[in-house]
Amino acid sequence: MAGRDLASPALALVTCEDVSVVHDRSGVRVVALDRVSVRVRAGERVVLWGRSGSGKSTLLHVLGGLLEPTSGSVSFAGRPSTARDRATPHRGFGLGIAYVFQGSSLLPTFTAIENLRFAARYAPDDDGPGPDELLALVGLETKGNHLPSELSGGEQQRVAIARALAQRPRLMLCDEPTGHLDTDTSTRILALIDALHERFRFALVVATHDHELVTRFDRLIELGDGRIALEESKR
Amino acid sequence: MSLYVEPVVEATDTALPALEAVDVFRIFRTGEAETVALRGLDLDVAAGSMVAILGPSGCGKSTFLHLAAGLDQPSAGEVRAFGRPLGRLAEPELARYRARDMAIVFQSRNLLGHLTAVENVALQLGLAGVDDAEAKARAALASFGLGDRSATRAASLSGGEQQRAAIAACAARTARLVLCDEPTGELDTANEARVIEALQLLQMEHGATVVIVTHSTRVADVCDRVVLMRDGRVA
Amino acid sequence: MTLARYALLGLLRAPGRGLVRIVTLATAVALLGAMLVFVSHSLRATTSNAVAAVSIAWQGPVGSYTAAQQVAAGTTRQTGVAVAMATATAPFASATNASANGTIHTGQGAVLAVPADYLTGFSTIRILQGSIIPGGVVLDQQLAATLQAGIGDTVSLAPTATATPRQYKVTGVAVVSSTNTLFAPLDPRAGPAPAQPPAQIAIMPIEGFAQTYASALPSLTAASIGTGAIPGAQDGVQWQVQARIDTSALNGDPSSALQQATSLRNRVERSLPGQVQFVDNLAATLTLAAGDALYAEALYILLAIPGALVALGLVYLAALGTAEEDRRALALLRARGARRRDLVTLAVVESVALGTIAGAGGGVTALTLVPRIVDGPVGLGPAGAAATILACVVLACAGALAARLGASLGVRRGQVRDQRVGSSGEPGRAPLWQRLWVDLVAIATSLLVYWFTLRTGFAAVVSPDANPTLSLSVYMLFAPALLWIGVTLLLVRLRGRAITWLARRGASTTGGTLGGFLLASVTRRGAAINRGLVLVGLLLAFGVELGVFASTYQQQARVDAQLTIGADVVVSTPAGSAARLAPRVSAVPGVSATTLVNHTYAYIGPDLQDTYGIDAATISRATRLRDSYFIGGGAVDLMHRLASVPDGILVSKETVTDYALAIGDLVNLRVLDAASGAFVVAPFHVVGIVQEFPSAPKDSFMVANDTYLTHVTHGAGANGVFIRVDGNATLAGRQIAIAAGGGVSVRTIDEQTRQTVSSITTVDLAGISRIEEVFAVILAAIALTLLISVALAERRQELATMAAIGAPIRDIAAFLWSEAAIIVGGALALALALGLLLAEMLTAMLTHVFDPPPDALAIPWPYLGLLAGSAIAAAVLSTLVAVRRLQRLSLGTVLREQ
Repeated sequence: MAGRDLASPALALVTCEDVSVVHDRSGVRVVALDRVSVRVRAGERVVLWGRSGSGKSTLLHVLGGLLEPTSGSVSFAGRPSTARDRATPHRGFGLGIAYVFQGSSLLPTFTAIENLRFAARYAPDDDGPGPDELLALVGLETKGNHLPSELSGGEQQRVAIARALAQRPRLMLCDEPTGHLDTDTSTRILALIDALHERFRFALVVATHDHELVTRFDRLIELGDGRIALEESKR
Repeated sequence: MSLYVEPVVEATDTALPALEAVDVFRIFRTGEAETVALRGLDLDVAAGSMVAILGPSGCGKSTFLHLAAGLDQPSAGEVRAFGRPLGRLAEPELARYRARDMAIVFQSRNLLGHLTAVENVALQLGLAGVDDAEAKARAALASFGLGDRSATRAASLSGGEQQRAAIAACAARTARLVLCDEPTGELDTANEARVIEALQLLQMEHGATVVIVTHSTRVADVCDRVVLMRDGRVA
Repeated sequence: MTLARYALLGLLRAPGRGLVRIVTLATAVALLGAMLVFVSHSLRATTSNAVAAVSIAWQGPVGSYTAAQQVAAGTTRQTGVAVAMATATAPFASATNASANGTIHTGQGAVLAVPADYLTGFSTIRILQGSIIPGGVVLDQQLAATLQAGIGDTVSLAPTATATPRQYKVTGVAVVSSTNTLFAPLDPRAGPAPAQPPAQIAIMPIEGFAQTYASALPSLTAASIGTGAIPGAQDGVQWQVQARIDTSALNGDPSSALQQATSLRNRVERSLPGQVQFVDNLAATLTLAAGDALYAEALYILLAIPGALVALGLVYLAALGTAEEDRRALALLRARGARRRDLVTLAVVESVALGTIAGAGGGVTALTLVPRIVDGPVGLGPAGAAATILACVVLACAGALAARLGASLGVRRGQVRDQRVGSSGEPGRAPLWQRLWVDLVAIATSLLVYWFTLRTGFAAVVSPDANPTLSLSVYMLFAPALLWIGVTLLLVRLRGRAITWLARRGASTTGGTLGGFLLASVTRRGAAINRGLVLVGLLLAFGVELGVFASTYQQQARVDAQLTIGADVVVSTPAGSAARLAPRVSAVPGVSATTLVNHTYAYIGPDLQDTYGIDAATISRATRLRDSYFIGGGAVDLMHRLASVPDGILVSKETVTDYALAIGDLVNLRVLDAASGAFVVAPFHVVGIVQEFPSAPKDSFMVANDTYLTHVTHGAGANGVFIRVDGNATLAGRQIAIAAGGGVSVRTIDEQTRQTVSSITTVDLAGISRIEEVFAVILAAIALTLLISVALAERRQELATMAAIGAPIRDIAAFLWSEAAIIVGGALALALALGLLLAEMLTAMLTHVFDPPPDALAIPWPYLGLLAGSAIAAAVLSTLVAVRRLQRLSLGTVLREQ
């Protein structure tokens, strides 16, 4: 399993083994994840589906190294994660993980293009598309000089996605990317993510409760009450 | 002792809907972006009924709920509660409406964290001008299965317990109109079931009109009527 | 009432939240409390200093010895009177000492007759050798030196030119201080009129005096006094009852002390109807002191209010930390039906709870801190202490309420929904003051008043009547106050647009480097940076203003002291001895220059004026002569003129006006010929006009060349030495006293500076400015710490996102560092500019009160360095701590909060 050949499509980028996450809130034990094992391979499109409280967000955070499980193990590119990895997850193992959260989390003091440029600064140099091109890819080349507060929810999300791409990720984690958006915009955003995935071939994990999204995936993992209820593959 | 005979108002006057929206528009402006949350919403909710409002994210259901609670004003159109147009009430009258006639249950943070459950409910009763607040609070909490948790600080209650406590407060206040904004959004299946029970209790035993904005089909299943909203109006 | 109870529960169960606010509030209130404590302390100090400076409180002229004894007895009986004694003064026409070395005559002098126990009640005489013995006489050292008489010798005193001289045995030598009070003409209608003291004094017991001496002279009565302040003009015996009162009862501020003293005197006079009316020296001094006190209070208020306001601004900032939570809670309560009244009640209860704790803490801090800073007990007493703490509590409650209500009202006006979601509301209309341009109007008015004052010299006037009133020109307070208000509002209006503009300029040139991103970020954080910059800047400006004004004040106090006594160190000697002393004194280490001065008197027309014989060539070396002292030329110029015209004389403006003099005119002065003891006419030529001179009084006086003066008066020569000292004047003074030997008096500038007489420049500003300076430093540190932790809290998500994007901690920290640097740098610049302008304005407003007016502001670089250092250190430390917290931040937790 711990192979060095990243080009191999069978290599698991992230692996969770028997992971549990348990919260204890003054006497009440809440089990967010209950002995879940998941593997994400390079280039895969995985959907974590479930309602709020099903554990899908928790699982996403564990996959992204943002949350340490109470029990079980997480490894990235075959290497088990350490505490330092968790502090700077994407740097600890040279993978490149980009996050797209529900609230877009654009840097509020930077314009759209500056957000991208800032991210590009810390990304490995390559011949890929630069910030301006990425912004054009998401259809916002005319809004590069807008501050996040001047963009609508949908536009903010598109910029966030473009920024995630600027990081040259091998794994993109999206937590309810269409959460606050209306139907029309949501559809378009999802189509965008899809198109970008086609083009850049990063591994994509999307956590959502939205039915619409569920049709586009390589693998679907349905979660309920912290457990995997259903796992389905299209390939 | 007044010699004037006050008119008797029937609580469940079937001719008067508990909640009405007449051609309601709500437009938000942040910087340069303009969001039309409600466009021409027309809706009637019969007194004593339990109505679910479903719809995709961004369809305006939460916006409508806040208008119905008197926490926001429509950009155009009128929202009436028990025949009274909320837009024409002065602030003290709105405050009274919010204290006595209407209760709103949010998705989370319904209680003041540093106060215990019973103190929270008693506080709401105090605002409504109800005597013997603490005893009534205790009774209400007990009837919703939270008797042994009444002395626990709200921050230490589980999500489900907090929601049920909030609903108990509605009952204690004998609010005629109870508005719920995704009350089970953050709860697991088991807790959701208990909250649904609580809401039913509100309707059956206390005769309240319950309007629930929700994503959950389980909630919709127990309601008298389901309203589908889409893009700012009834679908 | 339920809401109130829950407010208190909330505070009790989450003490950490309230702690920051309590600490900040307590500090702000401690500052105010410390000032209150200090002000009452300084008022009491002013009173006790004034009282201590009075050697004889009351002098009651009476017609005979018997009358004096009766009145003295009757006065002593009164409660509140410490001691009352019958004394007398009388002239002598000549004194003779027939010694083994030959007979020595002197001219006129005066006799002071006192009871045997005089020294137990009064300290106007200091016995150097021997004692007062019945039948004998004690000579003052000047007379003893002139007569060359010592203990055991027999001298004879002639009461008048024609009367038989009386013989007395010399039984001691003494120094008589307060001679101008002892020998003042006593006219109760006119009040204290210190007069030219006699140069030669003989002291004898009053019983002997009454028997042997007084008979030769008429007794002065109410009708025959008023002969003017002329030595030797008293031509009869002035019987007087001297009294001191029990000053321990006179505490509190000068005004109330004055009232107490005056009512005591009235009571005493009423108990002895028709027998005596006192000349009240104490009341005169207290009146002046009361005027000083009013000045001091106005000054303290003027200086302290900005600091207090800024401190309260800090309290608001501290409230910002919990504002978000508070707003959510308030929004929830509003959703549950709370009315505005309820929310206000909630705010009031919480504020009173916080305020009581903070106020008590601050008050206690103030009470313990002030004595430490002021170097001594403050003597408040339990009632005063309780009152101070109560005042602090009230202030703290008000401050907490103001900060809290800001949040409450914001909720009521805003959309509740937006509060819960946390989004920014729609931009409202600009507040009223902005639309009315209040800020620019205030600044313009302030500068206008300032300019006007400079041009016309608006004066604050104290009228020295029985009830001192301060007809303070209100404009005096307007200019600095309006400037504060105007600048504050203007900075708020700008909302950091200047910063944004500057940063934008910088960003466009630095492109894609980290610096470019930092500047880009700054352009959008303009409002937040502005908030910090304004707060810290105003706080530091307060410190700068205070420091500069206080040190200028101190500088002028020293200048004034120097002007009062004449130089750093002044030695007074018998006439002629100064020349001998000068070389000895010059040899003392630390002495850099000396000059001889002859203080004497001369008549111009009917006016007797102090006349100073100087050495025009050397005087500027030994003491400071400022251009402002002279009219029609600078100091160098006029000294040169005086030196080149041997019989030249400088006179006062009033003299020029009164006698229609022009430069070059001949004036004939009548001077006392030491040889003959009579007045002779001496010609002088006016060479210039002098308004101030070291050691000269405020009345008209004259300055001439001593060589000529001594020549025409056949005098012995200079009777004083002005000495300039490098380094510690007190130390040098002691050594000089040793070098000079006995028979001289040495005064140093330090003693004079300490003595509070009747000039505002000696009001003790040092104490209160030290208190406020200490607080300014502390508050600056607190402000920066708060600001940076608030900035961190505000930007937590943003900074965590940066880490998620891949930025290393160093780059992320750079955002915090750059913001801190801009705030501190901008604040320091603002502080320096505004502080200096305000100090300049304040000095200009009070310029007439500085005596003499300062040529330039005295900048206390060490204190300014400390202030800046404290701000910078606090900024650096808290940024370091913030960066550390950032490093230990669990990225996941923060990002998941979204």
